[in-house]
Amino acid sequence: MCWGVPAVVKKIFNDNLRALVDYGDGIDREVIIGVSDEDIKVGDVVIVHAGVIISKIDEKDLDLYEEYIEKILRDERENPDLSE
Amino acid sequence: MGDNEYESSWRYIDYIEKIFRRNRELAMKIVNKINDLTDQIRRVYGEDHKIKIMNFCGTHEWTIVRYGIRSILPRMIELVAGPGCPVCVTPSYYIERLIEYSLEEKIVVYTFGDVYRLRSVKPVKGAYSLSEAKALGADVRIVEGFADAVRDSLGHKRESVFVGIGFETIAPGYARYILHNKIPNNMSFLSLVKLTPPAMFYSLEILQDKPTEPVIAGVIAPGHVSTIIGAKSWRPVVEHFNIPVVVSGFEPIDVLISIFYILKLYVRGEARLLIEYERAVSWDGDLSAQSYIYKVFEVRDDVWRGIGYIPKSGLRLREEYDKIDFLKRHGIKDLSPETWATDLSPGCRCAEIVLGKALPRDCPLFMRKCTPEKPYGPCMVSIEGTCSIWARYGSQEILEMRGVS
Repeated sequence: MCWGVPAVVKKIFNDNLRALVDYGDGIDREVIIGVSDEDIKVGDVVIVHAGVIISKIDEKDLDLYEEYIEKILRDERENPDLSE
Repeated sequence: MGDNEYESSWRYIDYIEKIFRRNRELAMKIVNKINDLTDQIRRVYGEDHKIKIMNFCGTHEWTIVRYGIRSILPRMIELVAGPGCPVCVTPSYYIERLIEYSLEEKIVVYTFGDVYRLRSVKPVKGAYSLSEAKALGADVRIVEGFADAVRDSLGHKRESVFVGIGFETIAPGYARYILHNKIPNNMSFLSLVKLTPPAMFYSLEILQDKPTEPVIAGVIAPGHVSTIIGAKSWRPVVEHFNIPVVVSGFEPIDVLISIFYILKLYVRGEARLLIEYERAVSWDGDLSAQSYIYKVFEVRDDVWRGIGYIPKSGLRLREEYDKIDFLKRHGIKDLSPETWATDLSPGCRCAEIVLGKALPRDCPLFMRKCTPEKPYGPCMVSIEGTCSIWARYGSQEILEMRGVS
C-alpha cells in the first residue's frame, strides 16, 4: 500500500483538503492533500501514496539534471552536506 | 482535449523517467565509479573485505531487485533490506479483531488490498484473513485510499471501520481528514501507523551487535518518509552509529548515486547525512504535515510483528478522538507488553528478514509453502514485502524454484 506514484493534479476541491489526480492512465482519482495545501496547484507534479499527496516535485529546469549528475560523478559538485 | 493543459507536467514525468530510469549509459558510468571506490576499499582493507548497505523502504528494495542492481555491483557490497513495509509488521492481533468484528458484529471493514490478504496466526471463526472472512460472509471492501472509504461509508448506514495502516507518509492524510471532521458517524478508525526512525535504530543496533557480520557502511534512507519528516530526522542515526545516511529517490539511478555517495564517504571515513532525492526532500520536511500528525496522533511504544515492542514507534489517536477510535468505541483492549506474544506462523522467518538478519531464500517456507499467490508469512503479502519482491522479480534461482526458468 505504501507505494509512491507520480501524478498530475487536475483539480483542487473547495475544501482545500482533496484533489483530483491522474496517474497517467486517464482516470481521475480523489485523493487527500496531506501536505501544506497552499503549495499544491492544478498542473503540479506530485507524489501520491495510497491516496494521499505526500510531496510536490520540484520542477527544476529540465536540462539541469543530466549536467548535475555528471558533476556529481566528476566530484565537482558535492551534494549539500547537512551534518554540519 | 483539456488534457493538453497538462502536457508540460506529463513531459516532466517522462523526462524524470528518461534520466533516472531508462538510462543505461549513465548507470554504467556510476557503476564504474562504484568499482573505482571498491578497488580503493580493497587496497586498504584486503581482498575479502565485505560491507553492507541497508535500505529501509520496500520501494527501494523493489527498485534494487526489479532493476537487478545487486547483480551489477561489485561482490564486496551486500545490499540488505530493513523494516520497510508496514503490512509486514502489523501484529496478528489487530487482524484477528477485525475478522472477529466483521463476522460477529457485521461491521463493514475498509482496507487496502494487501492488508486484505494478511494472515493472522490464529483462525477467528474459521478465517485466517479478511479475505477468508469475506468468503464466510463478512463485508470487507478494498479501497485505494481513506477518501474512497469515507465516501463509500456515507452511502450506507452500517457501522464501519477503516484500517489505518502505513508509515509517516500517509499519516498526515489521515490526520487532516480527522481534523476536518470528515469521518462519518458510522465509521471508526484503527490506527496502525508506524514510525520509521525508531525501527532504523532498532535494526542497526541488532546488526551492530553481531561483529562477525560485514560492517554496515551506510544507510539508504526512505525518500518519501523524509518528504514529511525531513532529512534532519536521520541525523541521530549518523551521530549514534557513525555511518553515512543518504536520503534517496526510488529510480534505479537514484539508488546507484546513493550507493556511490555512501562508498565515497566510507572511503573517507566520514559519517554524514546527504540528500540525493533533492527533487522532493528538504531538510525540515513538511512542517504543516508534521503538525497535522501531532494534533491528531500521539506517539506510543508499539509492537512490530514477530519482533516485539519498539519504544516510541507507533501512532494512536489522541484522547479527544476516542469516539472514532475503533478499539475504544468497541471496548477492545489494545495490545500491551503483557498480552503480546510472538505472532508469526510456525516456520516463518519474516521478523529476521524485516530486520536484515536473514534473506528470503534462508527461509524454508519461501516459494514452497509461501508464495505470492498464497502468502503464508506477512513479508509475502504486500508488493513492498521483501519476500514478495524477491519472489516476483528475483534471481534465476527463484524463477527456477517457480518452474519458470
